[in-house]
Amino acid sequence: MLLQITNLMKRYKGNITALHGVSCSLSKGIVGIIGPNAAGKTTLLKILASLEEPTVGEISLDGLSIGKNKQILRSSIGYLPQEFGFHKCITGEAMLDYIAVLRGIYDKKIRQHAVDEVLESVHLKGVRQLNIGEYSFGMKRRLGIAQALLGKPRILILDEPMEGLDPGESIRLRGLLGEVANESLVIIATHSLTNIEFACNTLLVLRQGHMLYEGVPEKLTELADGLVWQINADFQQLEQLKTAFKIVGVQQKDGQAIVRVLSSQKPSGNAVAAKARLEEGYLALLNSEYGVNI
Amino acid sequence: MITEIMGTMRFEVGLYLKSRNFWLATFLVNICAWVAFLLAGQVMSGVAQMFIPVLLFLTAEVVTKDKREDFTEIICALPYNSSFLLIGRALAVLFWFMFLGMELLLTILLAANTALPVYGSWSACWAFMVKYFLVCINVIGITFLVASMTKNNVRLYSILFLWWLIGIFLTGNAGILFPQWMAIINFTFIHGFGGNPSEVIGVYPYEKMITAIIFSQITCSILLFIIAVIIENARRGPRKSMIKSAFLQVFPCITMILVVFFIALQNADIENKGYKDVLADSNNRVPPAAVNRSVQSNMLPAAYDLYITLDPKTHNMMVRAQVTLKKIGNTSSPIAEFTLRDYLNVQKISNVATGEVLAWKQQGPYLTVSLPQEYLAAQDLLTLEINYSGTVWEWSKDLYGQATGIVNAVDASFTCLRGGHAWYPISGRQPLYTTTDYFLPWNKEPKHIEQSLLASHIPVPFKMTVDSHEDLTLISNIELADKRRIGDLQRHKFVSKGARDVFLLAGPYEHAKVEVPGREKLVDVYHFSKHDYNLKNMAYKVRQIDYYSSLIPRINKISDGENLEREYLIFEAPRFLTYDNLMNTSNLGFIDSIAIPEAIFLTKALYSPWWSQPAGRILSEARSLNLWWPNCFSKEKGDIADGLALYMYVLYNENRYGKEFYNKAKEYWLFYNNGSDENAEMLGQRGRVVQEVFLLMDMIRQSHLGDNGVRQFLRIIHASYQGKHVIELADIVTALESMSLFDKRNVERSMEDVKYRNTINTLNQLLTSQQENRAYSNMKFKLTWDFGTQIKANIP
Repeated sequence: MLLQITNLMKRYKGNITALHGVSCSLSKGIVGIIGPNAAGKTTLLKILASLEEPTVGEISLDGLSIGKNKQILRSSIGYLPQEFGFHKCITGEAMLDYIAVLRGIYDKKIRQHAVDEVLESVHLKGVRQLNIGEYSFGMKRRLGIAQALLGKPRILILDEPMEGLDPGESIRLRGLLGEVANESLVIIATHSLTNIEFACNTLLVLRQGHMLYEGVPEKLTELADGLVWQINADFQQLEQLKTAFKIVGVQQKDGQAIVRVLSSQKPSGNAVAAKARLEEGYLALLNSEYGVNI
Repeated sequence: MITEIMGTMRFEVGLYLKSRNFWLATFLVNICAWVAFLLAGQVMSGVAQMFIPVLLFLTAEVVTKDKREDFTEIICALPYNSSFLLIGRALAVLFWFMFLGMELLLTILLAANTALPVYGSWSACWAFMVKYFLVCINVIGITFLVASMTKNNVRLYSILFLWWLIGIFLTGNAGILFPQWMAIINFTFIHGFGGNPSEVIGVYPYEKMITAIIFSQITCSILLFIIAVIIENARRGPRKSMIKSAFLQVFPCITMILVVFFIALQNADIENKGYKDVLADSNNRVPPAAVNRSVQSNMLPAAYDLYITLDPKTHNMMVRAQVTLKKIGNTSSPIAEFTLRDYLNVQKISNVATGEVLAWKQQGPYLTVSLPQEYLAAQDLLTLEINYSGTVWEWSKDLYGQATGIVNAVDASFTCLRGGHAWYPISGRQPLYTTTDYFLPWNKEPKHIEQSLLASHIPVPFKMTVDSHEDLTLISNIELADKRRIGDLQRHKFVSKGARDVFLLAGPYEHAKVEVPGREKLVDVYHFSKHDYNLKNMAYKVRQIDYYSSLIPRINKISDGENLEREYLIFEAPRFLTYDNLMNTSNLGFIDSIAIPEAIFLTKALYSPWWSQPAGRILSEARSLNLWWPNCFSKEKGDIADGLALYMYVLYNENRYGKEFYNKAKEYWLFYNNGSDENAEMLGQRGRVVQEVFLLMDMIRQSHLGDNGVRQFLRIIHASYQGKHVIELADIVTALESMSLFDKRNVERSMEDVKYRNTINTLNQLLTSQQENRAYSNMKFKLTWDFGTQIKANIP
């Protein structure tokens, strides 16, 4: 399966451009889309979910243009928006059953099985008969994920899926997505790198509608190689470092602060070069003064 | 497809069952229905129309709920077919509405079988459900269409609210000012398809029209829904082909809507063509000046003998009228003039005594006959036989009779020949219409409104034989002497020693006689099948009329000084025969009868404490008092006749409830001014003239003449009124003088004399100023503007 995005551009009323010629090829596995606010992540996902039309550009699935075949794309995707709700006076199970019908699962037994399966996978089986109005925020989030998983879609599009989940559920979800990704393309948009760091095969970094990076996470980490410094500093020194450099991490130890600094030059005499992490690669990419070339 | 539709429907219905909003709306609809049913006392189709705002709100809730619940993005990303989803939702709404309708109906039927004052008949229930169903599908059609066109909830609710307001405006009386096609596109509100079962069940005006209305309403609603589906499909489809495909699919729908509209319009036009031809013909033939000029004949009718062959299916009638004329004084004119409706064509006129065919000329509503020489020379009495025929047109030029809506037409089952509407030759040239000019705010050109006037004749011996092949009940204000079947012909014979302004109504009636304890004669009551609930209440009406008769006996003075007691009858009248706007009782032409509208005839609540609508009470009281004062309580500001009618009503209530009622009434009128609140017991506010008349009557009562004085005064005025159909101030002065209460030539004025003089002066001033306002207030009252459109009357 190959999802090809070619020169995608989205312009809203008032000449606001959300995406500038985004192109990439995505196949099976987990794809993480990261970027600061207003980077165009949600817009890209909405276009992929056929909720919005691109101003320019094309998306094809296995060579088939989906601009003219939206229903094919819709039947291939499961989508979880960033903000969503359900009808509160209906049970979680009934809601999923209805969505399964709209997804085209008409056989009652198959539908029942599918609903049971996704409820089990998001750990909601015990509350299936509760009205959604009685669900907690996290439970609603999980129900959202469950509806996206219904019918085992070939492409799973999730916008901030971990938001509101407790650590245990987040870990569970990561495992689940890992399983789904064996057979499907899972696209996750998020602010938090830690949520996808260990799971995704491909990372897309967006900023102000431009795609800055497409590749494996390790390569993004490598972008910060030689730019990360570790300094043992007292309080006064820390304040000086804050004003002069980009601090990427501070750890307290024995009354002193171990400070991680992103800098193209050695920031101080006692600074030692440190091994770069993924978020430091990401920050190095976003901050062009470090002269990162992709 | 079926699974998707059924799945959607099941889910949506499940949602409604668990939604608080829907149960709240259901509760509101029930409350609304109960209030209407208990106030009106019947299951009526008009009630269905009251639910429109709630039904609109509920449907709008359905189409906006995804957005309100933030569910839109999830559902829009699913691969469903928009058509199936919308069909499922629409069916779910319809299912829910139908459930609600059935629930209402069952509850009301249950209530109808209890002590509660609710009346239910199968025809009324059927009418209610038909109207309710149409309202539902129209609401669904329009709401889904608007929702497909705008995704903004505020805009959606605003458009629906506006649509509702326009509907109310067009449905109201103001609707008649617009062209007829406006009524056809006026979804849901359906002109003329109002509150009464007769309008739906068999006796609806225009045969097959109701089917056509239902068909066009359903078709148009479905087409609106299809357009909504097409727009939604286009939204979810590829953008490039969106406009093209939407246009290609919407275009045939719009074409179909136009075709349905055109067919409906043609249908209505065909139905109205005859009427329009008659009107055009009439306008061409009648010199305008002649219409409003009354010319007294030099002859009076002495007797009528009519032979009528009536075909109620085609509304054709052939008449052989033998009119006996009597000369007045010695002057002899070579011609006799008659007033006869212009849609009746005279074929032949002859002298009955000699068989001689006489020369005649028919010009508009006037007929001129050259009289035989020998009659001019000698005879006192002359009997003419006038043969004429024509289609019985119910249409009149009256405001409510104009063919702008589909109200007020004659149904196949009804034929109505109104008394005073010159359907048989009336001696002399009598004006049939009066014209009032008015200006609409957006138009500087004056518009004319014609109101019918009664063409009256003196009481004379009257015979009427009506033959018909149809098995119909005939109602007239003269006594039915014989009814028999001759072969396949049904013959009715009516006879009276002294009758005036005879009417004839043929309709699907059942006849009953109301017995009143302590009263010898029974009163004839005609009602539709199964509408007999209020028959027992008619005794109350009879007792009331008996009391009024004790004040002013209902008699006709016939030849040789003999007085003939005038009988009366009560009948149930469908709305299109009475132009029933509750208060509009004037010039209906049902002389010596009480035409009780079907809506009231049906209600259980008529004489129960639930019946609290002032308008209904006024209508009920006015119908009785109309026997004496035919136009009473039909104007916004009352005239002298209204004052006298109201005083009679107060005396009746005093007789019924005790002196306290009279004292309260007196107190009210003593302190009455133009700013006084309406008083339900006084049948609403009736103006300063009524106040002065009331106080004058009270003055007479307080004088040495007492109650006898009141009766004497009423009788004198009524005798004068019967001849002229109008009461002038001079009549009051004459009556007071004849009772020696007042002498206008008297120089030495007593206290009492000064009081009467002051009252007369005040009345004079009020009547003078009222003349100026009359046209305006009549218009304002008759039109009952829904949104206060201003009409300024131009006094000719």
